[in-house]
Amino acid sequence: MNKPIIITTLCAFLMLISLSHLSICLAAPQLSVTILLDKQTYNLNEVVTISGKVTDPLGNAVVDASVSILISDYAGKSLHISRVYTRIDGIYQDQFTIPSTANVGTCTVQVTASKVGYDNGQHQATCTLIPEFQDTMLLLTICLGIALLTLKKPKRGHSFS
Amino acid sequence: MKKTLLLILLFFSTALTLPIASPIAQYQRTLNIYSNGPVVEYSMWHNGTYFQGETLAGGSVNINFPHYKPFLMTLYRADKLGWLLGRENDNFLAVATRTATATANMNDSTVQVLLDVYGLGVVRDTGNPGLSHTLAIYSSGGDFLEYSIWYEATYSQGEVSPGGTVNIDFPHYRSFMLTIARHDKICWLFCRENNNILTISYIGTTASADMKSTMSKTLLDVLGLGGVRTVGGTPQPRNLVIYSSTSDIVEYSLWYGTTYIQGETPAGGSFNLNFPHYRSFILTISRHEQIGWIFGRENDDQLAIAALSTTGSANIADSIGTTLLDVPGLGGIRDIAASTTKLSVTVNVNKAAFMPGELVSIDGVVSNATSGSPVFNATINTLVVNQFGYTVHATVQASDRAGTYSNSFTLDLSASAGTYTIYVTAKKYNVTSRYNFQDCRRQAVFSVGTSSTPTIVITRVYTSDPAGNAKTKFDPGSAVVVWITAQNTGADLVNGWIWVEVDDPNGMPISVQSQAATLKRGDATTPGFTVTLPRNALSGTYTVRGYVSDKLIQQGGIFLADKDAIFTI
Repeated sequence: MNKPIIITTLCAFLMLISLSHLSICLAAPQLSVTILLDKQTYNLNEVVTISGKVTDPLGNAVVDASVSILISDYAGKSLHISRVYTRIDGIYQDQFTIPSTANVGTCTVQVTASKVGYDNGQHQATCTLIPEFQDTMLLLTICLGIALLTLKKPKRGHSFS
Repeated sequence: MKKTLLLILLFFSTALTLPIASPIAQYQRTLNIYSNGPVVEYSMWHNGTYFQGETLAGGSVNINFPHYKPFLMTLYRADKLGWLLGRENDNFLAVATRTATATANMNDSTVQVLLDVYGLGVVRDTGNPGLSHTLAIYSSGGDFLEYSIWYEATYSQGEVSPGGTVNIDFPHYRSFMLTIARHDKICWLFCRENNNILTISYIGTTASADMKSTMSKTLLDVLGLGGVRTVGGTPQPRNLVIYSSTSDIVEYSLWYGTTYIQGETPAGGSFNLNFPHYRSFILTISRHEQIGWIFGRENDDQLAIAALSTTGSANIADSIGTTLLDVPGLGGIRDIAASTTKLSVTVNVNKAAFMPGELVSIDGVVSNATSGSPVFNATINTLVVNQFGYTVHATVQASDRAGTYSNSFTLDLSASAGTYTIYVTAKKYNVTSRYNFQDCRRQAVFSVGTSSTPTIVITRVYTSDPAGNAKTKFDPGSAVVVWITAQNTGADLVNGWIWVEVDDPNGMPISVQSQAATLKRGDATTPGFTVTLPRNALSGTYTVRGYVSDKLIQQGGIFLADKDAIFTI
């Protein structure tokens, strides 16, 4: 094998290595984002605390990531939107009060995390919205039922014979 | 020629394999010292660094502690004492604590025994009011007794003859440590005096070892961390083995006199550490939420140690204020995240689009998010990065009395085109209050040259009546039109969305609306959103927040810009 062929092969090999490294360098790492709700079931007019953590593919916390949040009710109506930023430990937090006009049922929390140099990370969680005072209403219904049953008991001591 | 080509290719391939530098986040590590009533005297001691101070009665003070190094903190007042021995890494602070075990009035003529260790010795005051900063050490074990006293960067030691007594002076109004030891016995005293009242906390022998033995002996084992043992096999009288009992590393440090060293074991592995002969030393092992402290001394190849393990831990970067030490009737120490009041910070840029070489001016206001009042002397960190994440400007400054801050920088003539991001963090720790502000973060963007990504800025959010008359005061039941002016100085934004949320004075959203928008390079748009206020709408201040997203959030979109405005009912 003569020298020019060796050099050309070597150059081609090095170019391939370089290009493969280039593609590795250009592939932005993917963010991961979690969602933690302080409860699973909320009454209307109740405060919801949403928190979570943004991490890189190695599990390291990502500071200053922008977290876009959308909360929608059962009918798909947007209840709340927000943009918050992660702290040094990758944690973000947001709070809002559920409007009394929200549709009860399953509520969806959608979150997207982004930062320069990373690919966006997405996550979704659900919770349940129930009417305000639903628990109290249930208790009142039971009490009312017991009261009605008590009143319906037949009176003793009457004879028609 | 071919060689040159080869060299160029080699350089090219090597350069591409180099890692991309990333900015390192810096922030302060702070603990809050609070009083439960009295003035609390505190000190912070690590290696050769020592400082101390006082809280106000019922007040609190925030102090910084070192990163990735063990430290000793003291709280003291009269007969109340607390020592916190901690080490932090990766934002996890693990501590072991001690509280008072004995106290003595050094200014009276009564001899008070502070400590009596059977077979070793006694530490007492002299009973001489003229020697109010002197302790008497008596050797009761029929053997020599070795002692040492250690404060700030001062260390001294000596011996007491069998059955004899030696008087040693201790520093006034300073935290100090006193050791008495002999062969397999040790007692370590954590002390502080003021106004002639000396209060101590001591720990006695927890383990000892014959360092000439061929048998390995475990001296300390901390669950979920690792431990310390003698080497065993061929005797190595001055070596101890630091081992990890998990798959993680163990961070260790050794401190004696003014000498300090630290390091790490391999993950799941061990490390042989050389300790000093005939000197008191402190050895720590730690990792995140676990810590072990060894207070040791060797003589005649006999090592005696007093050890402490984890009593508490805290994630210093979370929003939970963890109390690490609380001394009834005195005070305590907790991590700074106990703060509940939020800061608010705004960030503005003098233009939305720049060319290389131009001056970029950034300003904003720091305020109390609850009251809206300006916050003076808040620390503002401003960081500007280009589209690749490289820092092009960074500064730290304080807000003025109006809560405002401003800084500027000139773009390099070779500044690359793209969307630049400004990260602003506002912090405020009030040193005389137990309660502090939570940090606040905000971002903004601007474009340089011809950016290949959209650079969206909301330049204005305002309200009007349906006829288009700008106003900020409305009646219940009336219609409010919210106008959002969004500008794009970057690449075209196709199928973007503009959003608005209106919150009532209690923070409850009363309306969330959105509409599709395409903003081409250089375009600006001002869509209006009509919100009909309820007839029973609350009186007060309503907040309007405008957002622009690249696509629907439901489809993985992100908000690119946001801006607030207010109106009242």
